[in-house]
Amino acid sequence: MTPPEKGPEPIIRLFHVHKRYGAKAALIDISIDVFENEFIFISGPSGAGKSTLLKLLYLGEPVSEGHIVVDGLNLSRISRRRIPMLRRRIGIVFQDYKLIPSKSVYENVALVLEALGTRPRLIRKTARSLLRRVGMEEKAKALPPSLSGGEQQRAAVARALAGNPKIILADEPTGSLDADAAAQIFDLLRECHERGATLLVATHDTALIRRTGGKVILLDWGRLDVTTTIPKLPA
Amino acid sequence: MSLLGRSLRDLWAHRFLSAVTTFAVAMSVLIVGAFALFVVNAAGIIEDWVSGARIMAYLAPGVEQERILLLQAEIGRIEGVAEVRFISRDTAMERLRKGMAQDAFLLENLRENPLPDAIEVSLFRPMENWRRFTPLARSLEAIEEIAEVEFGQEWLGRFLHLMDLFRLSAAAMGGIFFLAAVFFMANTVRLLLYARREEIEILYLVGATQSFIRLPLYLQGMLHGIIGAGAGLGALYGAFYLISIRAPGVGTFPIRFLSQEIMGGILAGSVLVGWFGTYLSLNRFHR
Repeated sequence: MTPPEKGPEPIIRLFHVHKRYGAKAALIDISIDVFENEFIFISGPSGAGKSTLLKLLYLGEPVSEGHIVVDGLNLSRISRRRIPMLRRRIGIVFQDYKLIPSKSVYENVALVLEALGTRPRLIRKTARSLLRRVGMEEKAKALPPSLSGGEQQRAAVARALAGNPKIILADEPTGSLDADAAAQIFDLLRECHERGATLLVATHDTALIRRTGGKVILLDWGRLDVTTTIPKLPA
Repeated sequence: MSLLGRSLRDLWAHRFLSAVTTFAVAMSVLIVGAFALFVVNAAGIIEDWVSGARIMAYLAPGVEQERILLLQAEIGRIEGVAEVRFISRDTAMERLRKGMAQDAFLLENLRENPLPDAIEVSLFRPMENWRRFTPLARSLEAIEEIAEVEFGQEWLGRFLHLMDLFRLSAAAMGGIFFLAAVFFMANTVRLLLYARREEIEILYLVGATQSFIRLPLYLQGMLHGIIGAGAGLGALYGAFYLISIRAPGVGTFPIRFLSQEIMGGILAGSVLVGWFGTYLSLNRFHR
C-alpha cells in the first residue's frame, strides 16, 4: 500500500490480523495501513467482515492472531485499564445508533463529555455546539425513540464527535436510512474529514461510494480482496 | 454533573427498584433494631437488678464490737469490694418489719430477736465482677466469726447467663440479617445493572472509565443503606414511642431507645451492606 502524501506514519496499522469465532474465520490475514486524515470505505458483501474489522479497532472484540496499532497503542498489549484511553481517541457511529433511549439527545452527547471529565460549563457549551453542527439543536430535549432514523443517526454523529476524536469509525452509518437522510449523514462525515479526522466507513452501499469517491478496501469472506481508489462521479 | 448529582439522578430514573432496595434495607434494620432494642432493655433491667446484689455475711452470736470493726476493715481491703456495712440484728429486724408492712404484726409474738448481726458487702461494678462473688463468699465463710454467707448465687448466675444468651442471639441475628440484606441488595443492584446494561455498554464504548461507571453505583448502594437505615430506625422509634407511652418502664428501670453508638453502628452496617451488595453484583456483572 502506498502512503499518501499527507502523513508518512500510519495512524492505524493491521499486521496479519486474523479473527476467528470458534472454528469460523471472520477475518483472514489482514494487513492494512491507514494514514492520518484518510477517508476509507470498507466494503464487501454481508458477512465479509467489515463490522468485525471495525470492532477490532476499538477493542469491541479481541484479535485472534496478529497485531493492531491504533494511534501508537498496540491493542494486543493494551491493559484493560487503558482501553478507555483508546476509545477516547475514536468516535464510533453505529448502524443501530446505540443512543441511550431513556436520555435526551442532549444528555446522550453530554454524557460522553462527562465521561471524558469535561467541566460542566464546557459540557453545556460543547454539547449545544455539536447539536447545532449536526442540525439537532431543536431536538436536544427529545428522547431518541421519538426521533426518525436520520435524526437519531445525526445525534449519534454528534455523540461520536463529542470527544473531538482523531479517528471516526462508522459501521453502516446510512444502512437503515432513506436517501436524503443518508446524504445528510454522509455530508456530516465528510465535514469531519475536512476538519482533519481519519475516517473508516464500513458500507455495502456501492452507489454511495461511487457518488463520493475515495479509497476503498474490499473484503470478501474475511480476506482482503483489493484496495483501490474510486474517483468521485461527476455531479 | 458531580458524582453525587449523577447518583441521585440515576436513583430517580430507577426509582421503583431504588424504593424496593431501600425498603428491604429498612425492613432488615427494623428487625435487627427491634432485637437490639429488646436486648438493650433486657440487659438494662438485669443490670438494674444485679447492681443491687450484695453478699450478706451473718455473724456468729457474741462477736464483739471491736472484732466486728476489724472484720469490716479486713473485708474492705479485699480487691473489688466497694462497701462494707455492719447491719446490727436490731436494724435487720427493723428492715424486716418495714418489709413485711401489714404483716408486721406477726413479729409481735417473738420473745426475742432471732436475727443475727451481719456484714453487708457490695462489689464495684457487680455486672462485670459477678464471677468474684463466689470466691469472695468462700473466703468470708472461712472466717471463724462468720456463721453463714448468702448472696443469691443461683439467680445471679442464671440472669447473667440469660444475658449472654441475648447478646449471642443479637450478634447471630445481626449477622443473619446483614447477610440477607447484602444478598437482597446484590440482587436488586444486579436487576438495576441489567436494566441499564445497554447504557453501561454504550458508556464503555464511548471511553468511560470503570470508575466513572462504578462510582455512582457504589454511591447509590451506600445511599440506599443510609436512607434504608434512616427509615428503619425512624419506624422503630415510632413503635418504641407508642409502646413507651403505655409501659414507661419495668420496675425502677425506664425503658430506653437505642444509644447513639448502636444507631451509628446500624447506620454504618447499612452503608456497608449497600457497598458490599454493589461490589458483589458489579463483580458478577462484569465477569
